[in-house]
Amino acid sequence: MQELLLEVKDLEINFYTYRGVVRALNGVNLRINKGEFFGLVGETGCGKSVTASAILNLVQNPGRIEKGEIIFKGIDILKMSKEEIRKDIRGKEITMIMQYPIAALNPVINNGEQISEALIANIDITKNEAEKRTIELLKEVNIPEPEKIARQYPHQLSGGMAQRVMIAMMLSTKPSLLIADEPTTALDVSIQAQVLNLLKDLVVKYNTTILLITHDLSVVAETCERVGVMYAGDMVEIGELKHIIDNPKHPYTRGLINAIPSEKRTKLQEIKGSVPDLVNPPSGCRFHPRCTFAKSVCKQKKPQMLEVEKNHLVSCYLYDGQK
Amino acid sequence: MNKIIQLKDVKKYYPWKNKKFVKAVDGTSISVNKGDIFGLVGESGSGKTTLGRIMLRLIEPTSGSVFFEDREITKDKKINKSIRKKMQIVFQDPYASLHPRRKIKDIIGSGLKTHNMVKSEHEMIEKVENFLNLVGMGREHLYRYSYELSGGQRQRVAIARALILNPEFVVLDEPTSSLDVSVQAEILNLLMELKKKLNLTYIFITHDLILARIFTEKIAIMYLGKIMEYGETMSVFNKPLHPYTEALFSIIPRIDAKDRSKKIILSGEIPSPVDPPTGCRFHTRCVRKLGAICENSTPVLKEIEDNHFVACHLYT
Amino acid sequence: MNSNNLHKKLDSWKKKHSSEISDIKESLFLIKRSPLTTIGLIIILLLVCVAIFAPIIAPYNPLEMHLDNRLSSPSKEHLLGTDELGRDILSRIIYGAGVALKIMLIVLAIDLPLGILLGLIAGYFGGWIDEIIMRMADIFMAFPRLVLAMAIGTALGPSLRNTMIAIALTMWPVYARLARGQTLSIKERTFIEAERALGSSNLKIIIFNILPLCFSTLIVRATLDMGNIIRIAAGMSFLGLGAQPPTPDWGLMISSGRNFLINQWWVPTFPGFAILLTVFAFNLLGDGIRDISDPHLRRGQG
Repeated sequence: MQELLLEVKDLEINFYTYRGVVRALNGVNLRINKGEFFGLVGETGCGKSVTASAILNLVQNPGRIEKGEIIFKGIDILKMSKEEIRKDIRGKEITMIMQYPIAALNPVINNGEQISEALIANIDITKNEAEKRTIELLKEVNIPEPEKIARQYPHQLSGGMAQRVMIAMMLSTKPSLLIADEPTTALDVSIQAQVLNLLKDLVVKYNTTILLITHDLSVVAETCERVGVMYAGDMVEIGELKHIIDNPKHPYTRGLINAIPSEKRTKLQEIKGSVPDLVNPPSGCRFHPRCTFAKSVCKQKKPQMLEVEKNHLVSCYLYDGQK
Repeated sequence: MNKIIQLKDVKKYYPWKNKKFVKAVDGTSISVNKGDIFGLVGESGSGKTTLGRIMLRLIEPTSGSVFFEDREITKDKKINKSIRKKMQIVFQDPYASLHPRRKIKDIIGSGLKTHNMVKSEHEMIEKVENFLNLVGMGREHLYRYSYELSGGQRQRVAIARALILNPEFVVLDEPTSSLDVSVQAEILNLLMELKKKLNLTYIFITHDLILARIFTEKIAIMYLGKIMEYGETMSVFNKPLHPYTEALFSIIPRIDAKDRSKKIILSGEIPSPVDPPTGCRFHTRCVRKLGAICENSTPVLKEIEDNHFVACHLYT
Repeated sequence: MNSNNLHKKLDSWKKKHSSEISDIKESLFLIKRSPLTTIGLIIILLLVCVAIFAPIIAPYNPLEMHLDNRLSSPSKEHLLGTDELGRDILSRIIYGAGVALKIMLIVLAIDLPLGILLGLIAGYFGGWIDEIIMRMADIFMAFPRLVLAMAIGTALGPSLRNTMIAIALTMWPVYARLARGQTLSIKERTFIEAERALGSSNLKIIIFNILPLCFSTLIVRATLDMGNIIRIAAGMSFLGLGAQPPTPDWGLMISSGRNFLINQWWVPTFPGFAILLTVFAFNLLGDGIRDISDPHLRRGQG
């Protein structure tokens, strides 16, 4: 039996800007089990990163969480006080790595101290022990010559190395959930392969739960066990990787997969139209203006999530009444 | 064959601290046929972007020569205006390549005025509108600023800006790497359509081997300023000869499990182009390293099969 | 028929400039959202109105002396009292607004173009020309601004015109350095390279591509400096280097009124308040404009 770690329920987030209210998340549901490598995929503006910041309760002005629950280990994060989250959750139970690790590291503190400080702040540990543990952590993320890297400063690191240091730091508190927001987007292919391998190892070896957020479905296909596909603030499809890749149900997922370059294609499939402006999102299913299967009902009401096969949920009227 | 651009032993060294140099491009020769799509593939530091700029003489090479058609453009003191018109570029990031405070009509029309191709503002706008249509946009965008456009639209504007001068040769510098996949498909399909319509020759710079495979006819794989392998795209893909090419192929994230082969994960970092490894530059990460020869002597490009060149000691 | 035509023209104008219109609307929206900026803006608008309509608003002629009514305390006839020569202080303050604003505008009208020109040339071309311009700027920046302005003012001789020249001479390096810094970073950006690839000349690149981008930063800086200029000008008048009697200048009014601070406090105090309020309002506005011109605040990503 799999143990539920995180559940996002009907999350709705708006941003109050000059242009109007940006309806960034439109009732998103998501469940992540313990020890899982979960991928959240979507294009720019689909709400994947907003979801991540909501999980850390980092949604900032002019953004506002309108509705929903984020239940982490049985407790609703959104009901906790800022102080509690800062002390007990963020950086401890849930940690995050980002696209540009060098920007996230403190430029005037050497790499080793960044990690040992995080250790001392979160765990009852002496300075000596922390330093030893730091080296171990750097080894765990496959950094050759960890002592040397520990003495260097963030700006002396390559992108791939900095991402490893970041990962080491984020693992130092043994978090239950590691959120990786586009961790390899800024890296070269050969370095990307190394970092993805490392993340996969972490799940297998240390039973870390990882939520990988990316725009690149092929990165997800290489790593994750389960995938959620988002479009314009909606979760359109969730399921096991092989279901999503081999048997995508939602027209958007299909379009996305067909747009990805692969050796077998000589031409890339386009998805007609463009991503809607979320100040005035389309009614009903937000994908309907671009969907070749759109019916009149699609314009009226947002489709419910339907289980089309075991653990494979789709939000689309094409599958309504099939079961 | 009709060659449109040729590079002969081009080098570009940038001065660095302690009298050292960043060897961005280190002795590269390429020739591109008219009407081809030529792929330059490599990771960061490979010199592919520098090489693209050198072709346009946006960067002056340290040594070596560049020929456009039959004219050695590196010999001229300043690039000839009529040649400048024939060579254009589309940049990687349309968020950076469009001026934030100029209107789309002025961004696209700028070149027309420089080259006296229009007589009046009215004529310019008309021409800009035609090219906006050509890239799938409309006149409603004429008076907009770039920040009002989406990434895909911006890249279309950048393409229109490059094509409005009727170039023959266009360098596409990672034209889709900062766009979403569905937009990438639109832009690449548009570029291919335009190539046919306007008889263009493309240099397609990319880090994405699969895109290179789909769209290019010839390909050069670069690593730390040198070409490692070079040939017809089909033969390079069907039979990658260089260990670097082989490894790159194996580690591209692929959506379909059936397409995956055993991954050859390259260990270590890409070395710095300031002090590139001696001998074969790839020897520090190569899984098929032969021994001392790889460290000591630099392999030269050799034709192993018909039109398929590789620089590796495995084939000597 | 005619009005129909006009409508059409207006419509097409609106369409062509819709981006600018929405830009201005957005700026107003952002200003409204920040109460301090709004307060600053309102005070300055009032000040400008007061300066323009001084002859209408002012109850008395600011130069008219009534020696029988010297140093009278604030009363119904003279709301802020009269000075040592029996002139109405309120009227003098009202007219003084015009003097202060005039000094500020003229100084900026000299310094902004001069600074931008020198900064663009230094930043774009670099090399020896950059060295010469920037070392000159360094010389001017090496002294405290007020001291330098006083020295130049003394050398040129006391007068309002010379004060403006003196202040302008001390301020241009600020704009030149700023414009240079902007130019240095802008010229490395991709859209400049794109312009080069089109074959555009240096002049065209500077005027159409770099200048418009420098401009907004410099305007922000200029708004922040407006208060400073008024303050320095008042300081120089106070020291007798600036406006000469009987000009209704705030600094001069404090200077001549300072002997009466103990017994007739209103004589120097009210002009002092005028300076305080004006400088304060300009600083509020300057800060606000700096904030709203921050692209991160504008068009926040949703």
